[in-house]
Amino acid sequence: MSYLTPLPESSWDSVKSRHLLNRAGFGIPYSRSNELVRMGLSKAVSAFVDVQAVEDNFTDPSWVQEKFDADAIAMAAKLLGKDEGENLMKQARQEERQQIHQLQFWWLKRMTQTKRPLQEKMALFWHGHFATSAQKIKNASANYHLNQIFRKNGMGNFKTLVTQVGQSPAMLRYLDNMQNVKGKPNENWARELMELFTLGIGNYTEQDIKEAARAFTGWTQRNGEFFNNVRQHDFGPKTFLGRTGNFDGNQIIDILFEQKAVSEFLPKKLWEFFVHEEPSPALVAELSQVFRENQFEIAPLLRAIFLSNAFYSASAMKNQIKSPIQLLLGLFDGLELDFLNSSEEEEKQIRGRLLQLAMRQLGQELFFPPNVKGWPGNRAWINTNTILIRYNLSAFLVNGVQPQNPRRLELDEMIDSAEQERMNRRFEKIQNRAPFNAMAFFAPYEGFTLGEVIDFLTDRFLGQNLDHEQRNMLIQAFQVGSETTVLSLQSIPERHLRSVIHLTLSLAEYQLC
Amino acid sequence: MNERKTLYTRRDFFQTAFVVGAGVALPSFLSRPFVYADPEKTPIPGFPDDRILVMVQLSGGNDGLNTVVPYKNDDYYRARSQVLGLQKNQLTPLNDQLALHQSLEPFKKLYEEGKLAIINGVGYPNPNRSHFRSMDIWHTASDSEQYLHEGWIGRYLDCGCTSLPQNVCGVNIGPKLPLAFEGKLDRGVSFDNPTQFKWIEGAQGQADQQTTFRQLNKVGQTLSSANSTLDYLRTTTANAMVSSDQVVQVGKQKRVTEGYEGNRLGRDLKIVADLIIGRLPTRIYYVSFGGFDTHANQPNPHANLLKELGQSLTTFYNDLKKNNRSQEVLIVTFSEFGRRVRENGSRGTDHGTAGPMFILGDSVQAGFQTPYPSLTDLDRGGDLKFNVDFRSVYASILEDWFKTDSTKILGRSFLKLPVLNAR
Repeated sequence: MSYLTPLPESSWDSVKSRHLLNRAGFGIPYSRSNELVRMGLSKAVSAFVDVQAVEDNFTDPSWVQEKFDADAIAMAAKLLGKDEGENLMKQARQEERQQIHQLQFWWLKRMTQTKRPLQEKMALFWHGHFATSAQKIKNASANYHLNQIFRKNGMGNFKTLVTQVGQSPAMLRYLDNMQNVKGKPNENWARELMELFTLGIGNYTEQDIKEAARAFTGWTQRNGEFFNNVRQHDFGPKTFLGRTGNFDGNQIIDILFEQKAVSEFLPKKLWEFFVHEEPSPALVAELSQVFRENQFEIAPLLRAIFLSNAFYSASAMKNQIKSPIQLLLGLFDGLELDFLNSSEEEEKQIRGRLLQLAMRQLGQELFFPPNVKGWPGNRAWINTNTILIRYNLSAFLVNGVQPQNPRRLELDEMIDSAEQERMNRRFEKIQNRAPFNAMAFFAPYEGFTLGEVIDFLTDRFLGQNLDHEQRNMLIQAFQVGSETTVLSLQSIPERHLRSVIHLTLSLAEYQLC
Repeated sequence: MNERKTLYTRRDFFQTAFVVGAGVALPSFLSRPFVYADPEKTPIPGFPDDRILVMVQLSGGNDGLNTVVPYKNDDYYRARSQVLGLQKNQLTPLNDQLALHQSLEPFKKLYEEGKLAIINGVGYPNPNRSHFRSMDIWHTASDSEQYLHEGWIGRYLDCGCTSLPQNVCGVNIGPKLPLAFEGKLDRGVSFDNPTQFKWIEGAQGQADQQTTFRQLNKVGQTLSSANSTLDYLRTTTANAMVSSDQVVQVGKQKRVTEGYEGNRLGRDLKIVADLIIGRLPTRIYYVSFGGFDTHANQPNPHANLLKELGQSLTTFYNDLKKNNRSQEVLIVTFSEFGRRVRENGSRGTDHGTAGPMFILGDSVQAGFQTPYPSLTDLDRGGDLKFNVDFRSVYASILEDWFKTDSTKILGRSFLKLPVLNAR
């Protein structure tokens, strides 16, 4: 072992604890880094990995208990007259959309408040890995159910997770396994299971896919739960990855986990997600050894990663571009915004829509991965358009300035134009009410010199030093003096305070973690 | 008023480019020196510089049967016997077989002047009746069972631009680049409002911050960080600044226009006209216009949408003509599918298959390009069978308008339609 040799405790410092906070979690709250330094490396990693030791109370979305039965509603609609039936269906569709929207909000809140950040970050990883989209799976319960699998089992056993995901209603429907029946096999699930979820291209043949598809026939769902419909199952013999037998879905998964590729595929992907791109074959070999020795348990692998020298090497630090979700969460935390809670119902609704728009424009809308490959991440987040949106997000949060014409809240082409107009008018009412409270934010910095304040801010937001020129420009943004001038909030216009923050957040460095 | 100009107006940038050395956070297109004498008429190498495409997407599934109406066909009135059949006083006949919905009356003049081509029955094999899926198919030019992640416009922009990448090759009016623009290279920008396509400074006219922002991010300076990801962010920022300057500069020009109504499509097309006439070096513009999913109570909404379409497109075309640019512009409308032949029980129509496309411009072969789909020989679902694969229309645009090899972009060869005059 060389890459995965643990970092010595003596090397543990605040730069490394910050790095752990940013990668094993979402970098929030930023102040946690100090606590992690005091704990020492081993305890700090344990604080993330050993989730069972941490309490986690969070309420489910309210409607989860009331099982929303789309089929029953469809039947009722048929029984009602034409107009009432049509209205009921329209209401049902709107209700479903609302629930998905609430689910997005719920998950964001969870990520903000959780005491188990690694569990939520893994849930997000799995959401991109075992991707399904609410565009196709309109039922919010199905989306919620799969999300809970990612949360509850996302750091457990990978093989068990694969089975649970494969049997979840959302995945059964998304990859068409409900249409996969004896005599008329549908290969979609079998293909992606091998190509994207467990082995990777090149480790199976097209024939293997066909045979596996036959083995999975009958796996379907009924009333929102997995149902093994043996009447639709093809019981005949299959030859799969060199083995022959009357395999069913479970046995296909068994055989998959006998392959060498399965011990490499996921560890490599996890390394790329948490550390850096293109790990060397030698590193992947070390990771896969850990994975195999732990019978495909994910938590030990994560522990090994977060303890390793390689994780804390220079090539791993500050070289990742924050995902849109991490960017949003970091902005709320860094700016001390309780953005997801609002006393005014209308403001809450508008903020919800804005978040949806932001996620969409940045390229990562929860529950709507663009396709079954999920989100490639890192540099793929960045192009001419998205980089401006990232910078302008802070303009909005800090200054209340709209990044886009509010007329364009066309989030869903199914929303009728009347509803859209109502949204836009409501939006205009809260426009220019900046969420950020500059005076409250700067209060603790009163009495320090501007130079010291800028140093605090760069540490807080960027976790790294700026060069002399950049530091100077930020000091100048106060427009009151020089680096030795003492900060006195009474004598600085609030808009200058906002400028300082806005410019700090407009540094490319802020996009890194 | 702050006199400090931002360094990076397009002209300035090009001039400074010649004195800067290697490894600079310059937008990537300046890695080779510019050779064009007239910076006002900067074409993009690899693209013909005298032609522009404007795609107008009608989202929701436009009811083609009530847009281009076979008003002499009894089957039409039988299928639309309750509410939706359009009577003589609701139609604008174009010939003795086909009429336009009355709301599209402004198109009649364009038709008679030879500026309008109408392609009937455009669709594709094994049509998909889901909005998202079918729209993705149109955007990626895929087969019905294929899932492609790059768009046909993105692929064209990747292929066409051989040497100098330009972020404003393509422009979408809206918050997000559509799938049609996805490609390997960063070749399109998206905005609602050209003057807002920039790094937005603080609320109270803090224009001087623009300079600070650029200096903080080393725009135009030598890259000396050891962090390649940071360099990538800075280079993209620099590219964004060049695109932004181009767009904002053109967007700020005030133009007197008339005829554009305050509706969505009118507003968006006016922006496109401003940008074309202001000489933004963009080759492909894209606008979307939604609300066509008329499952219930179709007559009024559909009439209003078509009115907006007819009025806005005609105003747009006339605006370009008045400014001597209409020869260079080709306008194409499409929808992700048409609707069912038979009206449903809610005074509307459900998702269908084939539908019409309008092609507008000085260079079109006017008139009806294809026969109207049969109203009796329907597919198993009771929907129209298509006459023309939409990729044939794309192929015609790519080959006859953009003079490029469509096979590379569409994946295979599609029979062209004679929609364009040779030019």
